Amino acid sequence: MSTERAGPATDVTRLLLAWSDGEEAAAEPLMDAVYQELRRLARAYVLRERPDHSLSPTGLVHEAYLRLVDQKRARWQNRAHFFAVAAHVMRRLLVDHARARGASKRGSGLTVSLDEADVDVAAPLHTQQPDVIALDRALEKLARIDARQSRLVELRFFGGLTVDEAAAVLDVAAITVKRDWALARTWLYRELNGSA
Amino acid sequence: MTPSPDWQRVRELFHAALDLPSEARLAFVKERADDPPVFHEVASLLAAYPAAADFMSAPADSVELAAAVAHLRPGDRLGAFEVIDLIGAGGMGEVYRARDTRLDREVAIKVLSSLSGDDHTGRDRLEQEARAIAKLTHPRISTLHDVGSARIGGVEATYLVMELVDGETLAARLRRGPLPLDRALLVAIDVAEALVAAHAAGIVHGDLKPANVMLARSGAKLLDFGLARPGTLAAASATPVATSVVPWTRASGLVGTPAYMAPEQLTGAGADARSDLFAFGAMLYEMISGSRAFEAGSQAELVAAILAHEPAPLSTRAAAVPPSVERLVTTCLAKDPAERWQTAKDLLRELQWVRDDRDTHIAPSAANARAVSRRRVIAVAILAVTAAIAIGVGVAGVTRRPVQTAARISFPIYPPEGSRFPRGAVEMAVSPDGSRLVFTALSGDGRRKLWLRRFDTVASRAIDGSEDGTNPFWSPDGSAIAFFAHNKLKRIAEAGGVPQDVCDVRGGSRGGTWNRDGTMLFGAWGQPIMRVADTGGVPTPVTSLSEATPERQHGWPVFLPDGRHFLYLGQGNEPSSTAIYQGTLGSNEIRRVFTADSGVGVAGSHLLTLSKGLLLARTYDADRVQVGGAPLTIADGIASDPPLRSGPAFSVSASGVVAFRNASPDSRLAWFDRTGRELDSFPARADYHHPWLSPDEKRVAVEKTDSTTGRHTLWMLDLSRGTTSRILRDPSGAHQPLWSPDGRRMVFNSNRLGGVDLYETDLDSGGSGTLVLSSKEGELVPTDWSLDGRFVMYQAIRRGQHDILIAPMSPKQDPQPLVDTSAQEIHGQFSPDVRWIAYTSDESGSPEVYVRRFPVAGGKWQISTRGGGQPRWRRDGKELFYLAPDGKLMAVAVTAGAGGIETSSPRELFNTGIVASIFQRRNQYVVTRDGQRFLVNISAEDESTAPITVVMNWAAQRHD
Repeated sequence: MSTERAGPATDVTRLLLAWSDGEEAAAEPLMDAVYQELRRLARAYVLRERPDHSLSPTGLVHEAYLRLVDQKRARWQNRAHFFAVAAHVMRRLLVDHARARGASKRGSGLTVSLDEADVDVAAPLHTQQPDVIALDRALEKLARIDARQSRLVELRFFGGLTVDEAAAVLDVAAITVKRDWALARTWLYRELNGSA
Repeated sequence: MTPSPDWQRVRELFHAALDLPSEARLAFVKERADDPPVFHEVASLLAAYPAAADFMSAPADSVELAAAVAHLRPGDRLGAFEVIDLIGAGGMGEVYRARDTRLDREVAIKVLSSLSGDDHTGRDRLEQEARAIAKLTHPRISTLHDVGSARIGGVEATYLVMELVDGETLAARLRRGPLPLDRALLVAIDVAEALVAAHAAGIVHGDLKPANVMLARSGAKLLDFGLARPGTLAAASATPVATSVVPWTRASGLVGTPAYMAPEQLTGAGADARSDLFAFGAMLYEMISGSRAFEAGSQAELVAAILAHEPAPLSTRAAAVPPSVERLVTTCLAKDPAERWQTAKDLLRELQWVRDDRDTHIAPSAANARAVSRRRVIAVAILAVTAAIAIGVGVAGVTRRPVQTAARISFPIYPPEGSRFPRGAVEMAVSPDGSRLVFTALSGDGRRKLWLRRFDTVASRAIDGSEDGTNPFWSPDGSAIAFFAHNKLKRIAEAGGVPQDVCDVRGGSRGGTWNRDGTMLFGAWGQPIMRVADTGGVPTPVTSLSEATPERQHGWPVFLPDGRHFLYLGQGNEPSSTAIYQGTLGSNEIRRVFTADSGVGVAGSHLLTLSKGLLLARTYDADRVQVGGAPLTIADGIASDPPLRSGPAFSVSASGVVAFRNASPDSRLAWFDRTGRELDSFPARADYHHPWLSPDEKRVAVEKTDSTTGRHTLWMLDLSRGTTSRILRDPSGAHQPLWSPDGRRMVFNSNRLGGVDLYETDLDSGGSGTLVLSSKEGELVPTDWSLDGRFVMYQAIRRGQHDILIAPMSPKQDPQPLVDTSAQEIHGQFSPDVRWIAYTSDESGSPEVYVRRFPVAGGKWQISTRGGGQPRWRRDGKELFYLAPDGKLMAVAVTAGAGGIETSSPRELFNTGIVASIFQRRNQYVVTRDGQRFLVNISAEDESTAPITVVMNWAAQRHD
């Protein structure tokens, strides 16, 4: 199925390895490549070119990893880094879009209806889905207080990672992740909804 | 940057407090907090904690993501329209809410997902058809305002500007349960009014379903009109007949739910406005009962249900359903369109009558408004108008044109219980009306038989009387099936029975076709296309093999819809001279159509071809003998046999149903001991053929198919290292390798010069082989090289006749035939002392293994008793192995003496699992010198059950 050919997989793998090794200059092109790929994948799901999957950030991030990173060359630390990058890119994607929508001065976060097969149109809006722009700002604020918690939120909310996956990426115990998550969530909720 | 000490403290206290019961927390923190700011922080967090429990409990919404990656962003401009936001997306494309800056109103814009910018004809046609829809102004139909094209996502894309409807789709509403009967009737009346208006304008919807009905404030509105050309009204009836409507969808893998499709839409057998009424009935059924009229666990079962089952009576699914309503719905759901309401108007009147009879005392529009306003939903509905490309089915004789619907309906057919498909291409034929499939399958004993599968069931049944049948084809009325067996062309009723002989067919059959005038055409090895009356007779040629080209044979004829013109595959000696030609009954005129390497299929005005596993459809003009431009990809990864088999590996009906098989061709080389225990298997799997063990048993020469080019070349497998390497430098095809006894040279055949000739190569010096023997009239298959190095035995296939010849190698002399009979002889093997030859012959009527003296003198001894082939000697000459037709490996003890040989009765060693025909392959196994181990080439088809795939509406596909 996968043949050794030069292409996105080799580029991203190379960039990922370089960045993992500390080469800062690799960060930008790496993010860029992941950004393009996530957009492309998401669009493929949305337009139902992939009927066996339904759209979800988690699925996207995992699939992007399989597609972009040469498994034979990446070590587990690289995998963790990739997920961190992907989650961050996902956040950017969503925030950028929300900003664009806001800038057009029209529209109002109406629910998007996807074709029945993908999403239950009648399902109630996630009343607890946060406003992405506000969340983004709040996350930046949180990052200044507790960088790890901010990264955790990014991983879990934007990247869709599970507790265990996030623990692997952050290189901490799962229990730590659970606690951090409880606190981060509370802090952000408070931040977004006004101080209690 | 590490968190501040304060923050660390806050963290610790927060978590510690959470370990306590809630009422104790505050006190605990107050006591432990170092200073007021820390205390306040923790306290405030603890206070927020309960409410935050659900916060971000799910990851970022996929819905937002869809909007984020859509082609257009808020603020983008499409002509005079400014995009506000994405409101819907799916297989059809993306739908945006936008503002018309000139008229200052909001609209919905749908950008079609099949962004094939090069297809001008498609776009022009789309615009032409959109005009027809745009003329439909009716309060119950969402208006199409405009069609435009723009550069989106780097390609020229078409977009539709439509009325923006606020409300909820009927589909969304039904997910919450059924509608009250009166409400359902009101919605039904609205939809019926829309249908009346559309049908009056000659437009059929074609894809009516709850997702296309909008429950708006002002009433129900019909969306998603299949764009259709206003059909010519049939003279006698007021039922509009739409020309084929093909919504623009993404082909690959898109699977739709045909839960509302009418039976005639599924089989493509002439759908019209009454198909809309069927869908209407299914919708109304669901509105009232809350459950679908047709539901099943799989696509195949759903299709069968629609074609053959009646839904449970409404009264059993919902309370208080008056008989008049039940009758109304049942009439809509009649399988035969002639039994339904004949016009939407009739249906509407009936609905109104029922409503009035129920004495609701409420005026329709007010009732709707009240109902809808009670449920003012935030969600904005999807507006999706599917675009259509009408495939011109303008061939004489076809008056009914298929109304196609949105998504691809396909399902698998697995080999029947106790049987398997043959390796590679499966011979199959879809009935002309698209309702059944006949296919060949091998039973446990390896015998071929024809099976029938009706699409309205999920089980296949064997056709009794069709034993050993191959290459089946249908009578035009679908009542009979013709097939080839026992050197004859036969016909049999679809129900089975005693087959009738039509005529003799020499050699291997190469397909047939049958027209309405009772004429059959067929092809056979080494012959031109022959015609014969379907009642029987002597066949006469309708084409002639050209001397000039020269041509070897014609085959795989297919009648065009007019029953007079036909297409066939003409094979010459050069690969480039193999092409599709068009002939005409009653005329000598032959016209060349295009180069091809296998037979084609015809569906209406479409030509289907298979090339490198890709099934393509193109329009075809018989008068101008011209194939249309942009091909439509129907499927890929289709199993087809190596170049020697040129029959089409698919079948298509005039109505738009196609069947084919995706199969992984990979095979496995596995070692077995005499008890049948599997010892080992070569690590690499690939599409292997004809493995041959080297004299030192360390390597295996094998023929392998290149998965990208489809070409066969020779490879060397190193058994100890598990590696493979090429043998020849020439990339052209090479097959069926043989080792020389000293292990230094190899004989094989190749069609690089057009014929199938014998070559020899020196393994040490490499190279691409030198020609040894040219196949002037036949194909040459090398089968053995005597141990003394003096002779090479091979098969020559000439005009369907298989003969064994022996060529002295040193010195080179003219080859001599083994025997001169009219029977087929294959699989020749020298005994180790070169005094005997074992081979397979069908002179007794079925293939058996025989032994003769070499040089040939006297008679023969029969070795196998119940059929057999592929004999191989043990190195000491005291045992002969062969394969029984059911794949069992048999062994016979041999004692050779002056008077002849004595053999024991055959003993079964083990079952190799091979079910592919052992007579069509040169060898599927080899045995070690000591007769203890066997290397068997087990093809994936022997092991797997890759199903036949049936696609009901292939024409509803469009690919970039």
